[in-house]
Amino acid sequence: MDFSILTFAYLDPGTGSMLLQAIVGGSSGLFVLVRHLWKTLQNRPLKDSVHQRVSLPDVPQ
Amino acid sequence: MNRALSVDKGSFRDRSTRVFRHDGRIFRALSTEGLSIWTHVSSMSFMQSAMSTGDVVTTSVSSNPAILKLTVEWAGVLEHETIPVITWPYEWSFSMLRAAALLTLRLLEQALHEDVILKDATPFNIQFVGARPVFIDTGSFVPLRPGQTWHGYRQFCQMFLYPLMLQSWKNLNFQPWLRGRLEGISPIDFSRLLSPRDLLRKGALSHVWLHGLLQARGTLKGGIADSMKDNGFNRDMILSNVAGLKNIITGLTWQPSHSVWSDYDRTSEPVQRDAGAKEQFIRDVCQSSSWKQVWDLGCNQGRYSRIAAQYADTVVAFDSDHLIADHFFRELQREGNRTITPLVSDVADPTPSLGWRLHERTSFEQRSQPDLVFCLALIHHLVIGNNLQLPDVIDWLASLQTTIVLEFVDREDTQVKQLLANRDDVFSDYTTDVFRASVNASFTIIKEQSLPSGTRPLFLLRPNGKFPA
Repeated sequence: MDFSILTFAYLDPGTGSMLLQAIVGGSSGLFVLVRHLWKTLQNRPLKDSVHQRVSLPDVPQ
Repeated sequence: MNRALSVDKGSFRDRSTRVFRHDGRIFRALSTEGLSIWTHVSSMSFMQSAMSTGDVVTTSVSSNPAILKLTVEWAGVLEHETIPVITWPYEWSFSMLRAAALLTLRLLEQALHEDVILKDATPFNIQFVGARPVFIDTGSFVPLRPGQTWHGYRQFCQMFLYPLMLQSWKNLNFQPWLRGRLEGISPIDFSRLLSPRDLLRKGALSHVWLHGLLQARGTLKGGIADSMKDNGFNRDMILSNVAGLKNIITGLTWQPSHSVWSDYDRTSEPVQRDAGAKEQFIRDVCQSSSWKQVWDLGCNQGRYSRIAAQYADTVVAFDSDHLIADHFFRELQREGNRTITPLVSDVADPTPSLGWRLHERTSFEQRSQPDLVFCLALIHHLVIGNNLQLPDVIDWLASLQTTIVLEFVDREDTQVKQLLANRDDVFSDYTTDVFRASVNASFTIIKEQSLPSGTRPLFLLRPNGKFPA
């Protein structure tokens, strides 16, 4: 049987607890965390910018 | 499943397996995946070694046609060696929980080296045979998938690490916390208990404070598991975490110098005077038959439990004093004792049934049946200390439907006088006459003996109706 396709866990590991395992997983774990945070930042959508507010005034003049 | 099988009502969470009893034996039914996993895991050297040393309960695939016929909807059935007495972590002492935690981590570490992991990490996976912890949930071992984190980590913290830290750092008994919430102590709750000084302790900043902080920001987005895998999370990081947890837990200690009852046997004058005659009485009773399970209620330092253990298969030694139970466990652990299991339990406030539909974790009386019970120098504490009524205490003992050795401590005893010294004597029922009337209503007195103190007669009692007089 191909075990890689099976789901064994019945527990919710918790997102915070998963992240923490990188922190307590030694120095190489910290690199995993840094890569994760970097990619998260890169993929983060830009918030409404000043430019948008200037170019699209929400109050008609 | 056939009615002839008694399903363990606490084994429902993991859908790949179910535990049941049949004719006094323990079986584990497995789904198709569960059976494949067991076939894989049971062939590994760590599992074979753990079963041979007794760290994991001895388990074999059942080929009993009667059992297989009763479990046709499952792919396979395992049979486990029977554990003499089932106990829950909120009945254990600090050193028992610590021993269970270290066994869990040791097995996890060994399993990880062969690419197997524990999918959960609860002390309910551990039972004690005497003073030895044994891992019983063989269904918890599953193949490790590349890049996965340890799903049982948070559960380990909640059920093992924080209760042990609570006891060691704060000197607060952990049992009411585990009894109060079957999922254990959450990272948020435990981090709120820590003082700034506690944050300097080993493991506090990461496993507690940061864990609580991350849990409090529970709105973190999904996809973390995939991200961990994609960014290189691997087995060595789990091993590093496990090594760190082992190091923290090994360093946690709890050894207060004394408790209310820790010097009772040494300092109580009637106890010392009566000890020899009492021991002989107990020994005579123990020798008179073969006993499967003996309960020693209010065992103190276990003097009479040890005598019973020479003749009985199993002895459960109860004491409400945590420190006494812990001392006794550590002694037994050093000796490698496989007969006596000490428990922290108060007769006046016993373990209730808990969990889903109150079937998940049953009360002690529901999961254990003694054939001999010691109630030695306890009854005055129950009546005067706990305000229980004497006839009701005798009635409860009768409800156990078993042989009882009872020591009645009368009103002339120095210990009773001490108990009454600073309070109004409202215990009109606590008399020798009421005691005898209550005993005669439910029991046959097989043997009676007075002790040198003159205030503590011993009785061997058998409940009416069960045994011939």
